[in-house]
Amino acid sequence: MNDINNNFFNNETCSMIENIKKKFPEDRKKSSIIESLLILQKNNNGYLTKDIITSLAKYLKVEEIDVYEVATFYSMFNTKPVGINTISVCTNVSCMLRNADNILNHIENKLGIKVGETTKDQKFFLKDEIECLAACNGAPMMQVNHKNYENLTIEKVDKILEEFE
Amino acid sequence: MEIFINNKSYTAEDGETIIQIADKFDIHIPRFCYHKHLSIVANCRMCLVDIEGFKFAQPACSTLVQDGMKISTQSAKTKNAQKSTMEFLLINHPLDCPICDQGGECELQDVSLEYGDDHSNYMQFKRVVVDRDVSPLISTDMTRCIHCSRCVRFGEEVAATKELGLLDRGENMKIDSFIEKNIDSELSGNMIDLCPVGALNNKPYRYSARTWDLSQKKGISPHDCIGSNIFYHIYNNKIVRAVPAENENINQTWLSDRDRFGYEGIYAEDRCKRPMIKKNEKLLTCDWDTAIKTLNQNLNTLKNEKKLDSLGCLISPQSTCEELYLFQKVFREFGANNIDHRTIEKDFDYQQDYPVMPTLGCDIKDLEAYDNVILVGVNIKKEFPILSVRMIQAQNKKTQFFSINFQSSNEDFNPAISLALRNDQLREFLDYLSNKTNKPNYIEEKMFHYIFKYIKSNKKNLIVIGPSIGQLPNQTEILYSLNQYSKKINADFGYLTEHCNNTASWLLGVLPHRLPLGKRVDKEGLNAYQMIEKKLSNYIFYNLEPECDFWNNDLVEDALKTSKMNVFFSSFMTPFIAKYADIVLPISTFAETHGSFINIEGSYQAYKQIIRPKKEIKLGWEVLNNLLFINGANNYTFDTLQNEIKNNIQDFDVTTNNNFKLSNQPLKYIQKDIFKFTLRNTYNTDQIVRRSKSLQQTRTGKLKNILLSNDLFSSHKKGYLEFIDKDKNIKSELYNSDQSLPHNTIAYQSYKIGDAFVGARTGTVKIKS
Repeated sequence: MNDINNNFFNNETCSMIENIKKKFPEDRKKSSIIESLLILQKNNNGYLTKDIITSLAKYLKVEEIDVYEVATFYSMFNTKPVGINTISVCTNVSCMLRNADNILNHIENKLGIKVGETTKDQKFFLKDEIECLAACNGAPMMQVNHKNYENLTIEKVDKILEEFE
Repeated sequence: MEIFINNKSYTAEDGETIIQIADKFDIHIPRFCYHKHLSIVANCRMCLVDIEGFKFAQPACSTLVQDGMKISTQSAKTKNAQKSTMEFLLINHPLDCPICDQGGECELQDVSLEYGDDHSNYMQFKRVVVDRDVSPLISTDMTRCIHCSRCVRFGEEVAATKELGLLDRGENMKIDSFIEKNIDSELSGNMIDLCPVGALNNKPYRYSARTWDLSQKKGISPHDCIGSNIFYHIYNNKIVRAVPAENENINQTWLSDRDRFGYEGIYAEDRCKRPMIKKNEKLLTCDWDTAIKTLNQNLNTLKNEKKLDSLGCLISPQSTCEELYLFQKVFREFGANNIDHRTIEKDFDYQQDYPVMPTLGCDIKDLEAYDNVILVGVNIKKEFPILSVRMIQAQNKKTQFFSINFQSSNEDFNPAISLALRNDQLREFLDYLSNKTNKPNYIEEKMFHYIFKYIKSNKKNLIVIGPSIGQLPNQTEILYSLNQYSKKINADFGYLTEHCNNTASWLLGVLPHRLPLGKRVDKEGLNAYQMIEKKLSNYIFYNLEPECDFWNNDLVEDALKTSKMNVFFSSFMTPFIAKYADIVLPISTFAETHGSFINIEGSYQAYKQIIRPKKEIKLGWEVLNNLLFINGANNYTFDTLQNEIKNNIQDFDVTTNNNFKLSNQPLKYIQKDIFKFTLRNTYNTDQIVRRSKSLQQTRTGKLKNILLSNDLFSSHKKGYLEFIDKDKNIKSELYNSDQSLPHNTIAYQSYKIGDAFVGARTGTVKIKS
């Protein structure tokens, strides 16, 4: 336990992870990786570091590679530093038919970044690999920090982004 | 139940999969991800077969058989599925077969030829994956990977140290290790065999030959007492690589890295090439006749002058049965009594009561029949990697493992309890378990609770004694206490020995107190430690490296300095041999001779010569035979020799009880000062492994350190370590704390050629403050 980095494992996080562990049988330690990573990522400005992964592996007594597999597989985990606000623009069928590509292009031009990148001032992170976000009735749509914004137009997008400036 | 494959009827058991039945009856179904010793994932889709009543083809590896199932491996639906799968697999696989080492033995190549199509619908660019250098033993070309995940599952299930994982997903998916981590497991080489394509390949073998130019010869591993079966692949009379030979009773389909890459040592630069004789203080080359004649003359003079008590004959238990048998025979014929193979031991008080030969006490495959296995003085994962595979299998079947050693092993193979005890504590602990003494206060209460809860006399128990116990100055005492304890819990008794042929050395009488088959000797000779300590005036060393193979290297040098004649039968020219030898006879290594080994379960395994030795190097048994012959004995051929040994041992019951009674209770060993011991480095166990370049580049091979227990480390504040070992002053800046050591303990990583000598293997030291 000495090797676990205490910056990530304060008392509060520890008790949260302990609660997660209780949900699963004792010989299924790997099951608690996802939820634990979500907590740790939230506490670390939205991304995971090698240190966090190693510490969690030691804490749960699983291999580092087990945690790393989960962290690289799911798009909700970032293994590189990201901006404070996360923007996810849906480009799946319904949104695409309602010109989601234009919305995405506009955001890219406005922020000066491509999908998967973070603005220089660290304010926005434009997430990649976004699939249907289950709001087809309001297409085109996007999420900023997991909150839905629907029936987008370019003007609307500008307004929304201004709120986060 | 009855199932039909291609309209033929076969009987099957409930719970079997289609591919198992097909394999049993030699019906070929192509596959990549399926392996009989790994879990089933069905992710390559190559084994799709047409089953009547199913709309789509089903994977044969994960579909269970049902009564009356009608399967076709030839129908259009199957063929179509196979073609499509092959096409998908080749979307990203590069067509670099001409420069790929796997070419010629590649599963993808074979299956593509047999089941694939001659064109593809995909014209896009192929995916490229960046390689990382993950191991000195495995070369990676991850662009060739088809994501069958066999290597990942091997790490997780067989080696029980998951080092590779599937990272990312979809198009970006790749097999890789954790950030900046290497593949360090002692079984890593098996991933090379498992990989169906050229993604993971043998690094030392890389680009040295094409597979179709190789010939294959079977051998037995000379590096541990398990006796794994190996196929050596030979190109131009040179071993270029080794792969496992399947033996379900011993190594299954696996091989440890030590067995796989150990052969490199045969090609070390310091091989003895010609016989040599010392003249005027100079070691000069000579011909074989002169060397043998001089040796014979010297021996006969000793015999005539009745001075054979001053002759010490030592042989390494890494030699073949034939060499061991002839060695003791030759020197007994001369009249010598000082014959021994136990060069790494010190305490020999146990020897009269010892069983005829040490064995595991059960067959390797029967380990899983035990409820509890208590391992004493052995780190299975490091020292016997191939046995750890069995133990992990047994563990999954609810066998409990308890480990008692000088260093706890929590990180590797996960025993139920892992205790780290000093040699003096070990006896106290065992005596307490046998209800005799007071409770030791240095062990946590819950440990005892656990031990008493599980280890009971009505369970099936096995006690296994590892090679580290043999190095202790109080070995007899530990054996005695273990024996008491084994009686209490009604346990079987077993051994794991340092070298590949210790069992045969005992059985064939390479001992000062016993003849072959445990018969009593008229006049008992000196044991290995006494021979060195008493500084005899004549020595014969066979296959031994004086720098590394003895209990106390300092004593060996002292003995060599003062003796009149040092004869070395050796494959390698070490600095000590060059300095002190009077006669050097270059002999074959295990690969250059016919031979046989008896493994720890008592199986006699013979093999034929694998490569021819260089011109002036003779086969070890031939040289010994020559010595016998010029003194008027019958000339052996290899076959008559082997038959004599076989006849000798065939009536001998190898299942004799290992349990033995010591007639006298040994005195209690009292530990003063700090307990010091040498950690046995896996890649330093014998002369050949020591010289294997690739193995020495691995993390395990590079380990070199002095480890201090936590209490010593925290009380020590200087930037360097200075301590007194007997009368030697040792100063070192390379030291570290290790929490897996018991209190008041120092551990060395084991000897290597050129390392500073650290004296005895176990003992005491004083730290200078």
